[in-house]
Amino acid sequence: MALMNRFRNKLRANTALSASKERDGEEAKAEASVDVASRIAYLRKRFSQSSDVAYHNFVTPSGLACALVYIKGMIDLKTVEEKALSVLTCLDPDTPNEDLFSRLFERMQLPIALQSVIHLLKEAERCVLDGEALLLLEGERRMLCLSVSVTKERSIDEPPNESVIRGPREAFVENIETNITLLRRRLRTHRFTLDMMHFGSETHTSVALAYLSGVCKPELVAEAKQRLSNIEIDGVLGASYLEEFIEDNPYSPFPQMQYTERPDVVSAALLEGRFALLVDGTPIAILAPVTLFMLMQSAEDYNQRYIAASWIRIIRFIFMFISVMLPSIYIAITTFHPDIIPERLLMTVSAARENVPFPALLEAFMMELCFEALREASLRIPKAIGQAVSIIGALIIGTAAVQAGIVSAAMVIIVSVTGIASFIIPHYDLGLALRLMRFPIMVLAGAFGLFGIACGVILIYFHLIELRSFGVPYLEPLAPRQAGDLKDVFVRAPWWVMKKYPSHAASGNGLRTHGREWAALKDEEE
Amino acid sequence: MKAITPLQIYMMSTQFLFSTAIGFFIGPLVLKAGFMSWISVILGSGIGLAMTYLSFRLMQRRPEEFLAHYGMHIVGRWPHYIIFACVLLIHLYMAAFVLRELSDFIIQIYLPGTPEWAVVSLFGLCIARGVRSGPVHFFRSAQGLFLFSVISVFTFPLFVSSEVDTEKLIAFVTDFHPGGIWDGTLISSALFSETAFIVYLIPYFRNKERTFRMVAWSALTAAFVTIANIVATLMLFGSELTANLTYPTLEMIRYIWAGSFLENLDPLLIVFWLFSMLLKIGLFLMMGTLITAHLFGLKDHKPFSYGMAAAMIVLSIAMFESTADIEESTTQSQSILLLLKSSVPLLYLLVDSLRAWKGRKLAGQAD
Repeated sequence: MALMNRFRNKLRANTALSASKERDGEEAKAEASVDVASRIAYLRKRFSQSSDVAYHNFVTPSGLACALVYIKGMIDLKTVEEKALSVLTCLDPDTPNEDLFSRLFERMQLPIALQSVIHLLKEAERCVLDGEALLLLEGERRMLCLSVSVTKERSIDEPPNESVIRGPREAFVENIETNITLLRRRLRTHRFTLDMMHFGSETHTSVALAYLSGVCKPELVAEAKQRLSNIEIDGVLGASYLEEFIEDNPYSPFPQMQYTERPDVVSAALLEGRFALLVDGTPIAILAPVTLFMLMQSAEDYNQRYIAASWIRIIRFIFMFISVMLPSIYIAITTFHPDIIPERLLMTVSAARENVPFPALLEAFMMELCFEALREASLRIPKAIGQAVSIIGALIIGTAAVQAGIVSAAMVIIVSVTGIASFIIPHYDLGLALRLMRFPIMVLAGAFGLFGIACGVILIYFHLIELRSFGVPYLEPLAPRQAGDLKDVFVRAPWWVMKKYPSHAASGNGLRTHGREWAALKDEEE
Repeated sequence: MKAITPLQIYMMSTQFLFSTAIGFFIGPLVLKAGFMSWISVILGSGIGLAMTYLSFRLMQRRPEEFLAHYGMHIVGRWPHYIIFACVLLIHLYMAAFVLRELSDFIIQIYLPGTPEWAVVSLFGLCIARGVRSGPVHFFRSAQGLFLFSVISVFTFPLFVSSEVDTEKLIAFVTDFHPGGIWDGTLISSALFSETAFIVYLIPYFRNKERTFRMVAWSALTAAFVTIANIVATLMLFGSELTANLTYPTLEMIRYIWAGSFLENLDPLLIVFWLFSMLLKIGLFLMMGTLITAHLFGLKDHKPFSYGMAAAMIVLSIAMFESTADIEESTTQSQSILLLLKSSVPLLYLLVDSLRAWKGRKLAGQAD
């Protein structure tokens, strides 16, 4: 059987090889030709299964045969008619062909802003597939690729997942060029660098690696390019396709790259010496390197006054702890350490749990699983019936389950608080990872009480200590300690205090700000 | 490789020293030195530091090499292997011993009825995970939770300040018995000399000249934390009761009553102490694992980390019958074993110095 399979595979490989050889032969033949018909015939064969490819043959007044090849719907026909067809069909009949070729291919006299001369049929193929118009002329091997593509794109909208009260309201869209423009408008510097790449053998998705040269460490850029250059995949339909290929530890549940839909967040990250990846077709940019504390920062923090922002950030950390620990602590206390809580509270909790037939661990597990299911359902179902699901969920979990004696009221409170706490984490991927961590810790709490929780936390902690994002330790600046960077971790220091670049940025760039120099001068005068 | 910063050395050494000191050593120390235990801690930390300084001098001679590698050039191949096999066993024994002390404490107080093997295995897994991550990450982890650990152990004496009997204060000066103080000094010097571990890890340190200074600061901090806990315990229970309690610090923590919200804080505070205990056991096991790798001529310690952790778990479960045996071992043999372990670098320093002296003498004769 194995022998048969091997033979079949070899046969298949041989067939593919001979087909490829045959295609290369045809291409070389068409390549060598200056004849429009043979090149069109080659392209027709290549696009034989694409009924949307149009072949427009026409003749100039001097009798020169020409052809335009494009995909219907992907180009602006009006522009082609006005800027190419009408020019070529209204030429002086006495114009010699050589002069026409020179005007078109050397002096680029067609009134179209973006056009390029191509020599190979492979390039011609790519030109057509990219939604441009391909112009071929009889007696000339060179071809003209006219950038007249038109795409229906949605307008720049408010970011649906990262809304702010103060701050810009623009979000990325699906078009990479628009997204780059959004960044350009914010970073008007020659340092803003873009490296364009293409991924996906079938999709040829455009990807832009953006960074500020001189601010982003050159070794970080080199590392990013090296990792990206190793990607071989048939299609890239979103930023997350690339993320999984280039992250440091693919087995970790914790996100090692940050995603955002806000151009101001990307701009701020570039100013901190990080790099961004913009992928065509997705309104999400990914940023790296990232630390756990960066994932706890929100765009709002930098638009609010620093005192309020710091307070909110502390609240966020407290609730992050609650979102991971609260059910486990409840299980540990009710099962192993009831002596921690005061007698009256203990009696209240015990009375509430009196009729519940399940141990605290099982009760918590059931409730948490139901909550996860409800949350997932509310995300996936159509908005019109989403409210109904919420009401049913609230009724079942909140009232009916307690009244039926399946779960205790205390457990409902615990699960609700945990649920709210998990929504406070600004980065969805991090919230997801922490939600996942909650379950093994609950099992450890059910088996070993607070000792089990401590062990669970220690295991997670060691994982986080080892984790890196493009060489930057995940728990930086706490471990390893970077005293200067602590200004933007648990609190957000005022802008005029954050004078230096973060430690992961390139050194020797001077200061980001000189602070409130006028205040110092005024003090001196007084 | 040079990625352990001086600050990380300070934070690791501090937690390494005070973890067992306040957890298990206060009883035996007070048994010997009574109210004068604070003098024993000061003297012991001084002696321990002196021993560490001599280890530091040895490591200054070959700062880029591991002692397990170059030791054979000092004392000869086979003596070196024998000595290091003993050092390896002592490290493994100490890791297993402290793990057993901890698991007994956890089971007796918080998890009665839970099988010993389950508690030891779970904590052993955490330790193995830490050891496998390597010295650089292990020291980094000590940095991350340092503040929580130190604040929690400082909280113990602060919270009971209202409960203490101030009339006992005079005993800290009058309860003078030199024999007891000397015995206590031996116990605490054994404990503080443990910082000689730096000699086994030197190539990992970034700023080697500052290593001893950092260790000295950590000994000072640990001595301060230990004395604060000893004083609070003695003022609360007196010397007789403290000496006879198995876990005097725990009993002190149970006096903490944080208003009407929390009845007993001990399980919460012990969570942070637990992490410093993990660092202690982990560092013993880490050194054992590194020494094994070096003796076998391997660069990476990882292949041994889980095996050594399994050996520690088995040894920890099988080593002692009861808590009484552990207590007896703590007072009788543990200090000697620790002093013996810390003296090994001194032996190498002595032989190395003699060889150097002899070399100079021969060179002088030749001239």
